[in-house]
Amino acid sequence: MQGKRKYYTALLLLIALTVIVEVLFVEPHYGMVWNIVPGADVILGFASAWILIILSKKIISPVFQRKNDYYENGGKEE
Amino acid sequence: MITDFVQPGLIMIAAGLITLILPNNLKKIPVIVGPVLTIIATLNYQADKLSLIFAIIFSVISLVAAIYNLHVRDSFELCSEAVYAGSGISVVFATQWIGLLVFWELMAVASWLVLVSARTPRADKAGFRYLLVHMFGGNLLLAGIVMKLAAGSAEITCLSGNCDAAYWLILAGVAVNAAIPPLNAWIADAYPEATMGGTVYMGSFTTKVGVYCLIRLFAGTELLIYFGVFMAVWGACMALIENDLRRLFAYHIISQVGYMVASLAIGTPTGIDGAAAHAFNHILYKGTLLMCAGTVIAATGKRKISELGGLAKKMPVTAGCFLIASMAIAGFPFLNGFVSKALIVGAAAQSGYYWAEMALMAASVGTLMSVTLKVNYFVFFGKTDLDVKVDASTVTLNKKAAMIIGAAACIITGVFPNIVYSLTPAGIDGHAFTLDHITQYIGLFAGASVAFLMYIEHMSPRDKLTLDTDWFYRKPLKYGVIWISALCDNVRCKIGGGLGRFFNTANKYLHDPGSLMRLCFGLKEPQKRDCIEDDDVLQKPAGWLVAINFGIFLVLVIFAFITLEAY
Repeated sequence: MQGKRKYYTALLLLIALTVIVEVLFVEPHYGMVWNIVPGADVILGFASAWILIILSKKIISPVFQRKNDYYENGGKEE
Repeated sequence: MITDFVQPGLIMIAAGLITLILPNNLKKIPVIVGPVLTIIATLNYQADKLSLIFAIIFSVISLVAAIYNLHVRDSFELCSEAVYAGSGISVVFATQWIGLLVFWELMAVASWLVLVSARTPRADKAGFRYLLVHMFGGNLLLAGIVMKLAAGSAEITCLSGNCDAAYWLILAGVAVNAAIPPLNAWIADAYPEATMGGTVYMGSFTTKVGVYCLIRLFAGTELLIYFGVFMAVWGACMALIENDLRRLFAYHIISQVGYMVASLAIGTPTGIDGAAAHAFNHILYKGTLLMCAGTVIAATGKRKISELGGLAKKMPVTAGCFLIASMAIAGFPFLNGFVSKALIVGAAAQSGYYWAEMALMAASVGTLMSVTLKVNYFVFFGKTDLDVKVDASTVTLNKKAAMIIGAAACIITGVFPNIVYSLTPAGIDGHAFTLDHITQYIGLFAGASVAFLMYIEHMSPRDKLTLDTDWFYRKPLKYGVIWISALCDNVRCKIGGGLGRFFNTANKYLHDPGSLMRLCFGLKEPQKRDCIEDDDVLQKPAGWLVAINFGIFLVLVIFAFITLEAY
């Protein structure tokens, strides 16, 4: 993908704005760490995205994916 | 009991049957008038709020799907879809076990007919597997209901807290429809094989009727929280690697139903409202997504993401509607997914299920990456070297209108969440638009988008088939059936005579249950039936299950009427 830099810049600006708003104006509804610490949602989003990517692309895909004609050719893999 | 059989769902069923006898130029009338009358009747029908919220959204999506399907001329498909929708509505209005069972089974058969009305070999084979799974689930439900009736309990009541055999049988039967793992594989197997309009109906009814029954019967069952959270995360992971556009959405149905199952299992008023509101919103955005996907597949002739790209300029209306619905499903603020997810995540946090709160937020990240970012980038907005041909004549005015109505509904119910909140069973105000909620989701999605951007070169799906739990009945069960058939054949040869002739005649019809249906209703043989091959060994078990179900069901109805007479 070309021109990634502008997307990174836009996202980082959005993250900065979110954190500033959270610090200045937000009153958390619940008392857990990810509800209280400003910017914790960003870290949660980033970390869970990587966990899901690794889980699906590196574990589920190699274990559960087969050729498209798997059921038609008697389940044999070349 | 009579009220279970005289309710708004019957209007849809009648409209469907009328389409069978009308000439082609008049078919559009019952297709549109049926859902409109059903909406009016539902709004004026006396029932509790849980039944009404589901019946209202079922009627509304029936109308939107009917508009999307307005160009379809196939009476068999139109009739099946209307009867399917009508039976789904009838299930949510049922007050007694018998009524629930009758329309549950009708829904299973009608949805199978919707599937096979695609008239392709793949749809026929997937249809038999679908029928096999749903008759299995129907039999479990039937057994549980027989136990309830035998115990003298005719009225539907909440079963939470019980632990008898009837409880587990009914839970397992309902779990099949709600696609709770390991009974989930039929969705990804069947939904992508239906017609474009048929998929919209299928994505809206079966699983949501399952969710309705779970709320009605099993709200507050803690065990279901674990299943629900697993479904939410697992469905999103499977969608991340899926290449087939409609299979991807099938996995997303599992993920979104997971939210509902977790929410109803929490059991608090907020949790139950969250499940009902999410089902309402889910039907709107998932219906829109499936309509957009169907439009893309019909216009390009391709169903795989790896074969599509750069369609935003060629199909701007479809791309715009898809973008809105895909943002709604992820939970972007001011769209409808956000307002119901706020209730669900709030219910988990209020009840002290913090791990569930975190996992459901992670599942939202999975939805964002697999639909909002992946599909929009690889199918619509990203640059591509592929020159995908688009047949603009297939994007008819009625399809555009239906997609725009769906997308507009996502915005309206997102900006004015009280429309949905006022319909929920407890009528709880979710206070979705607090700064806390909004910044939480913006931060979550911004962080996830950074990760997606870092890995985007590898996010393109591989052109592979993903195995699911259907492997068990497509591989080991297949060989088991062949072995049992050979054994039965051996026994039949040995016994011979009358029993042999009975099995021969029964097998002739039960090998293809559709032939029995056509014989009863005098319907023509579909043109492309060459797919009914002798080697599809799941046909006979599916047919026998239908026959056994029907037999037990008849006995049960006769028994019920005799019992009522006695009183």
